Amino acid sequence: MRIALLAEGGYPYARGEGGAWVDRLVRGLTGHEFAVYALGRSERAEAAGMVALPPQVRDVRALPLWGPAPGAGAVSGKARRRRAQALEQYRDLVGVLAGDAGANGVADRFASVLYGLAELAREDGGIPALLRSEHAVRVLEEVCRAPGARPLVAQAGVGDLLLAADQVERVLRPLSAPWYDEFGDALATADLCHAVTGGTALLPALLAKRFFGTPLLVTEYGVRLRETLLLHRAAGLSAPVRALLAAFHRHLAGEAYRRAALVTPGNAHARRWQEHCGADRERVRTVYPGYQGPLPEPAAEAEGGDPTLVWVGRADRGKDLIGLLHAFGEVRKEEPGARLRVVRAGEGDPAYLEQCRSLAAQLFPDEAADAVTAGESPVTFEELGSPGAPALPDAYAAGDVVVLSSVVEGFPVTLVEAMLCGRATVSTEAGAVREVIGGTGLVVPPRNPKALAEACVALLRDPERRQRLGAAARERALELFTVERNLAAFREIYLDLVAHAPGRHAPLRDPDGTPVPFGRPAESRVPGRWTAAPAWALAAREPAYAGAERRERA
Amino acid sequence: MSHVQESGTGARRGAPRKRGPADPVRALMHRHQRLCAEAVDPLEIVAGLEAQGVTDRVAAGFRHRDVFTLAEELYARVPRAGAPSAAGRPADRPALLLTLAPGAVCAAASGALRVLPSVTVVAVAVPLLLLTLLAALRRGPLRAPYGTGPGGAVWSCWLVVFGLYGPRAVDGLAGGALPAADAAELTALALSLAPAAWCAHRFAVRSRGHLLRSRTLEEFGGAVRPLLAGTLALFLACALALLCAARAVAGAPLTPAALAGPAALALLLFTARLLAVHGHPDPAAIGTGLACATEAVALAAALLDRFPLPPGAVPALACGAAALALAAHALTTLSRASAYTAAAAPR
Repeated sequence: MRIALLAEGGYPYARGEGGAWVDRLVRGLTGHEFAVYALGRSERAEAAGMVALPPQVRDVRALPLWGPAPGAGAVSGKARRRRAQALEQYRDLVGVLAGDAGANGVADRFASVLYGLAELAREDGGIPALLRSEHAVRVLEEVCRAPGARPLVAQAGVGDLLLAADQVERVLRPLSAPWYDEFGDALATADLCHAVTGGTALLPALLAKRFFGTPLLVTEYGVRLRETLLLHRAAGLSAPVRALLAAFHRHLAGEAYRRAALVTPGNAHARRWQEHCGADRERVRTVYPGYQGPLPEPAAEAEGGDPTLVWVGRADRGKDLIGLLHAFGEVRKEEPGARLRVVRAGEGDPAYLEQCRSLAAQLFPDEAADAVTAGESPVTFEELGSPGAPALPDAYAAGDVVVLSSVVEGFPVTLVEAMLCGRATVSTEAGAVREVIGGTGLVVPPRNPKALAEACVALLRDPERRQRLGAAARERALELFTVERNLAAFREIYLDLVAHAPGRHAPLRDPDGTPVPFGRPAESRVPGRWTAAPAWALAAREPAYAGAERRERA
Repeated sequence: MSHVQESGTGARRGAPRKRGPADPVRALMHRHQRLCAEAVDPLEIVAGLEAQGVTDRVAAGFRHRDVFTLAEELYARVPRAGAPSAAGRPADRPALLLTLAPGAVCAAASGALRVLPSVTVVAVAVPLLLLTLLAALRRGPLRAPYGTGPGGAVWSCWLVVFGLYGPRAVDGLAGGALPAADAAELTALALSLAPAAWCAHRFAVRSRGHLLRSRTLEEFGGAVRPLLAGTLALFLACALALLCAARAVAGAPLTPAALAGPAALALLLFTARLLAVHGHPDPAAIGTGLACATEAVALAAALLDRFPLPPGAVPALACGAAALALAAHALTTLSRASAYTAAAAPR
């Protein structure tokens, strides 16, 4: 079947985050055809080029959201009327954005105005230029000064109005993309729209749903709405501009979650945001991202040696290494021979790491076995790839227990790695830690060194429990967090959604005129191109004995 | 088999027990004061709190179901701070040396004409002049991010060449070596690039100031219109001064008829550039193109021997009329806020 993949930033551009899993998805689902609709966020990302695309990606259509608006085109009398209508729809839209977000029926009003504007933009390529014109800025000013506007928005100055008009035009630009022709070869031919990011990529998907009834699948590994809000703040946008844009993105995400046939968050954190923004609990299904890279072998338990804790990851403030060092101090009180290895994987915050080093040097002086050997600190800082830890399995194998001390955490990849290596883990409850580890490791509250230390000591003293937990963790990781698992989930979801979607072709009817159930089964869309059957299939259509009979008659 | 250790919900042994106000959210409000005061949506507070490690478990300590309801309480209780206005992008500064380079090339060439054969000087000076001109127009306040419209560059070159050779061509004279007066004119035009860049920069800085200060679009338009008129007048004065100086140095007479043509040309080119810089390249190209057409018609009329005007008046009239039309157009279009969208965008 034909899948339209919609992305804002990331895939298929080489630069940008979040593209890797889409690439694995496209390469893994060989039975389908993909068309990629890419909304470019910056000139720099587009200049860096695209990743190599597999043959099942038939088509890539890009729409830059940066740079000047597409041309105004000739303005005939009909177009002028249409533009006056478009300005009215725009007035209603910014009225919704400037008004109280919690008001009754505001989500429905947003949707109806958005689709109204989309119908006009579908026929007129000059809408983006119109939305950047003085007319649009004037409309925005009137709306912001009107009585219904929030006080935050009402204080906008001319600079804010200009910037807001500019940014709103950019996020609305997908409405004017040349993808909505009913008889064209763009979104009208798609059997399923899969929005692999949130944000403006949801717009074309929503329009495809609206215009052609194409079912919509939304996948978010990081919640784009949340990232957008943080980004606006970091970019130093003024409060009125942020208020308008935040309202737009919030309404857009809510509308998409409500219209989507299925929403697949990557973890429970994303799921909570999506449900908060309007996703129906029954149409949300968590699909964990597959672990990228080759699966590590289970690491063998090191024979003998001191009891050792291992921490692997990128050192930054959110990982709370200082808390880990304090916890290790507690561990040393119980287990004087314990060691801690901090293995850095990737760049982190060098200043923070330096701070941790000096703290470790203060807390844990060098120790030696006797008076004649050189001393060594019980805490060592290493880098992945150094002789002590050449690869990930080696790093995990070097310790008896893997510790994760994060205060802030998204989807903890290092924890998944430790699980795949069959290591017992102690982690703090942050981000998606609890759902990743399940019952196969110890979880303690964050910012509680004492609890962390107690859990570590308990595991260090009990090798049998350690082994049991490690084996269970590996089983769990292999069951949940592999690429195959991720691909299988999406393969199933695709089939399921298309099977449930009302066919756009007239259904098969029996002589009485009632539609035949399963008139167009999902399988009819599965194997590659439906029109051109492969040669082996044509040859096999006739049973072998039939050919033999014919020969005999001849 | 669950090995999950729950943290004790009651008072833990050894944990510090703080005495504080009965309202636990107040401390949180104080800690995240800036985050809450500057937020425009409760979700912004949620995102900020989560980045600081506040989870649903922490929210439960504040008697909230989750972080979302906690953030809603914070959003409702912390008064919104008066938001600073959009900072915008600072105006590009003109590079002084770069804008002076074309003038320097012209001045050097007109000096070299006295000692070297004119063919050599022209062969070296013209490419050098074009290169320095391009370099000066590519960056700084004269950079036109949306291009110069259809044929804009061609019309400008034609206008300059016609300014130099046009009157004599109309007069029916064959071109020989450049007389001193023409070289002085070209030098003055090239030198006027520096005041043009400076005037454009001044205009950008001040219009941006109005952008940040103005509350309404009307107020902004009312402030920018006199600023634009003043900028055009200032540039015209600078160009006239440069022309007078160049002619005085070359020893040519300072008649109004001799000054009017080049001054009108300089004003036309500056106005057109200003329009192109602020996103209106098409009217700029049309204005310069019309001036070119007028000059071409004059040339054709001269070929047919039916030319009623003195030849020196052709560039002055064509460029002057076009400059006035473009200036009138600029006074309406550039007093609209939408011409300054790029200046309002943050870095």
